[in-house]
Amino acid sequence: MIHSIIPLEVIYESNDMNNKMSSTIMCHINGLQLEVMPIHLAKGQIVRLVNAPLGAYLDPAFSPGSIVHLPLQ
Amino acid sequence: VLSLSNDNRLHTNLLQLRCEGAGMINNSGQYMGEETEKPNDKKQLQEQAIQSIQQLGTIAPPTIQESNIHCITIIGQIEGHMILPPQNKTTKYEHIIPQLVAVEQNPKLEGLLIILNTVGGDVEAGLAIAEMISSMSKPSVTLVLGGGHSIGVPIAASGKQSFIAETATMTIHPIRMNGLVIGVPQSFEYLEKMQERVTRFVTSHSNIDEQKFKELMYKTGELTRDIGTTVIGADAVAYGLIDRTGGIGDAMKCLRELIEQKKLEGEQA
Repeated sequence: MIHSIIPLEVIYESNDMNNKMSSTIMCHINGLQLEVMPIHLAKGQIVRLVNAPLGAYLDPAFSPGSIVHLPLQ
Repeated sequence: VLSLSNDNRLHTNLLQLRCEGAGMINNSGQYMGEETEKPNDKKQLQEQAIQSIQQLGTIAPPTIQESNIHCITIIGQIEGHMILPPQNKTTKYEHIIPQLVAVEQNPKLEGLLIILNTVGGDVEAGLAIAEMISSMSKPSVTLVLGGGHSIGVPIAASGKQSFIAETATMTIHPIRMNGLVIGVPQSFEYLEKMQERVTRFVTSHSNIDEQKFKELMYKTGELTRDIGTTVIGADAVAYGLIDRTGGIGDAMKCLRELIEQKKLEGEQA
């Protein structure tokens, strides 16, 4: 059951534009949980840090937009 | 060694090796907290580092200061049992709950800061997160920035202390349902029970009383599409929904005070 200020029809809106699958994936790199957009078989661009210690947010290697090597699935 | 790195970099890295209390990265690449080593251990570490420079030509990677506070951001829709379509920015229940467990069991983490900018979301997931935060033994501070609407209200109230930015808003309105309804009285009763769960949590974890909360919830003429009230910054404090107005500085200061207070209580016990 949803309790939100966003109307339900907007939350569940499903037209052709929005029906495509999300292009990002979740992965764990160096113990950090990241949301990454794959740009190559083994590389991805960081979208956001999902679970990371505060120090990681100051690390340029993990800033959004940085390229990381994706772990082997 | 000099062929691998210039003098300045080598000097900087050696200085970092000597930094006291700096966080380190272990062999598996995971962040480690501040080490409180004895002087002998420090000397041993320095010797090991110098040895690795001499023998292997490697230098320690830059160290990162580890915090004793963990920060969790709750943004967009709170996602529960149903995966929401990709146009929604969501905070997933399964990402938050393990983090809360990790904070509770990690001795290096002493406090929790929750930053909210949410439009609401799944009732069960929101209440589960709120219950987890309120039942933690470690100090927790919540800060509403932007918005903490609907099911974000119990989460905002769940911390030991709650803050709201001057410009932030909170919308208090009843739970709604749509779609096919089979058995109107039963559905109504179910909806009432769900609403009661939210109301009871908010009133028991904040200074607002049930009558006032329901009055704000069923107020007409404030929202265009719904009944309810939007409270802004200082109003939320005046109603007793949130403890104080303030920003990140105030929230961090309060959290540090709560951590110190807990330490003192631990020493006295």
